[in-house]
Amino acid sequence: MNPILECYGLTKSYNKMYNALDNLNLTLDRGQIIGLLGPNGSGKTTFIKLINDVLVPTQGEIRINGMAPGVDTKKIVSYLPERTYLDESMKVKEIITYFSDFYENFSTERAYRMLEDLQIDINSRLKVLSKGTKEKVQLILVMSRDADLYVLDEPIGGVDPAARDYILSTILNNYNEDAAILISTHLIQDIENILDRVLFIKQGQLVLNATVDEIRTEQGKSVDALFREVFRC
Amino acid sequence: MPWDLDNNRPIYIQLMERIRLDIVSGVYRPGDRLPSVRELALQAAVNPNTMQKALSELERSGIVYSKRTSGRMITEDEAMLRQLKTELAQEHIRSFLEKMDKLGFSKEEILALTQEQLKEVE
Amino acid sequence: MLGKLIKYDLKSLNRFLPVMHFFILLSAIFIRFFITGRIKPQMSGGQTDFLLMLSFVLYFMMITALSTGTYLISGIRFYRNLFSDEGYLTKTLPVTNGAHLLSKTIAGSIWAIINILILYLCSYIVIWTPYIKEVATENKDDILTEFGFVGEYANLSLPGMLAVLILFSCLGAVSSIIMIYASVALGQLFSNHRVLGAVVSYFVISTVISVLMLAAMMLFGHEMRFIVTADTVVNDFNLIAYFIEVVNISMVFEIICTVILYIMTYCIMNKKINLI
Repeated sequence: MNPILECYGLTKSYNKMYNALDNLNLTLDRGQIIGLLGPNGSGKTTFIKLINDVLVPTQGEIRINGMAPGVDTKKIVSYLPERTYLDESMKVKEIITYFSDFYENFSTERAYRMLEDLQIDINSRLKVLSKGTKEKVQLILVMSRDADLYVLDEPIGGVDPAARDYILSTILNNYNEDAAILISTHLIQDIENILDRVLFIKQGQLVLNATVDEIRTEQGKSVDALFREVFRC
Repeated sequence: MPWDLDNNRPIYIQLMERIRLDIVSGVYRPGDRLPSVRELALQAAVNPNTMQKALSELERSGIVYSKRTSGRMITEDEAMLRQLKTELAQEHIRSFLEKMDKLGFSKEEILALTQEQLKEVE
Repeated sequence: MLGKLIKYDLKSLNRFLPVMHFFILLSAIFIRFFITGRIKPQMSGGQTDFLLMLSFVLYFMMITALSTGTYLISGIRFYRNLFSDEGYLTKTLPVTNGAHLLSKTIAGSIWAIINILILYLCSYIVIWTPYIKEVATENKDDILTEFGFVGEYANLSLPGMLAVLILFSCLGAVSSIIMIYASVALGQLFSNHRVLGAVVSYFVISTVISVLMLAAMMLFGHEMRFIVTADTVVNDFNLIAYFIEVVNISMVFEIICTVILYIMTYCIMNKKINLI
């Protein structure tokens, strides 16, 4: 099977002064859980937005399953942005219908099961839910799709530790050989054990691309410790 | 409950150690079927590929083996299990002796202290 | 997919607009029963004038507010759903930008047209009281002559003309919707002041279109004649003839402008959009 994600010279600049993403070359294979790590403003979210076609690259190209971002890639990419993107006036169950209306690979059954696990009332409107609960709903929506590429921008940042465990096990549960999961986060320690591979991004450039056990074998330290070393202020 | 793993050593090695311990201590009995990679990965809260690697390594050492249809089984080779148990015990004793040595005890003193402690436990 | 998009766009608009329109209908009925309906021939001139003034001012304010509200709500839906945080979901649906624009245009147009039709219905309710109807029927010939249904225009029917007027208004409504969308899309090009950019764009577009429209009228000589006529040569002026000419020119003009704006909006959505 072809790689799920390829980038060639991918560059994005918001103004002429500097590049938020600078000549990124990268290939990611299926069957992996990949951590996208870097300090604030290093270009993680920019990269993720480019994958999802909410930003237009300044230069270079991006291929998902061999295709440029568009309708066909949106069918197979499941994206969790770092913000709340739901229409707050809708009810939880209406949003479930919305997703199943537009995404062929959405499993309503799985979504309802997870909502039940996390005790979220499907009849409540989004605007009455707490910020953390909204994030859970979004993650459930995203993980209820049978996608080829899951792109999760800070999936565990705003939720309590118990929910965090549930989310991580949801991610693991959803893992399959044909799909890849790209997770950006600051909470490295919490997710280190579920990652295959980590990418370090610094000032828009890729500075490390290695598996977790490679790092531990070669450096004798955890990814978290290495991160603190590479990005020491 | 996720397995307790430390930060610095490769994860797959720690997973191997944990499964070995579970086998020796009787959590899994000889001839039992081991849970699937996915189940174990979920239990441990680790990446399935890492768990896969740990199991492959265990398989290479012979302590588990693959059956075509029913997954991975624990070996029924009693001698091998006994040897594994002994090896683990030796490891613990070695690290115990190292620590006692650091504390400044001689071999005779260690033996005496240990015997005393054993009596108290009884 | 387009059908589903339209379904959700309408659903969103349906949260506000039906209530607003129901209210305006209710108000029209209210005005009819308590103000215009009470105007009787035997009433003194002063009283009648006052009531008429009051009802028309009130009514005019309400329909202006309602139309503005309808366009504004469609515009806000367009902005919120595509370019705000919600855009992160909308833009990642497996749907083309063209389908998004078309869906929003259809949903917005449906409500803009409903708005126009309801406004005409309200006008009918408010104005067409039994008394006025009676007076109108009595003086039908005079009124027709006054409007210019004479000579070559004598065969045109008043209902037919009204139908043209309503159709023309509906076209105007659709073109207003597209103009608002174009402004919102243009506003996105002002990276740091996107909403302000949209408002400024709206005024710039409407000014440019008005100026061009005026120029077109001048070109065909109609605007001049209107000015001259209004001042002096009343007898020479035929309202219906003027109406037909104006409608013809502006319809063509409006269609051209609308198509250009629609294509421009599509191009911006397709090429230039960076969500912040």
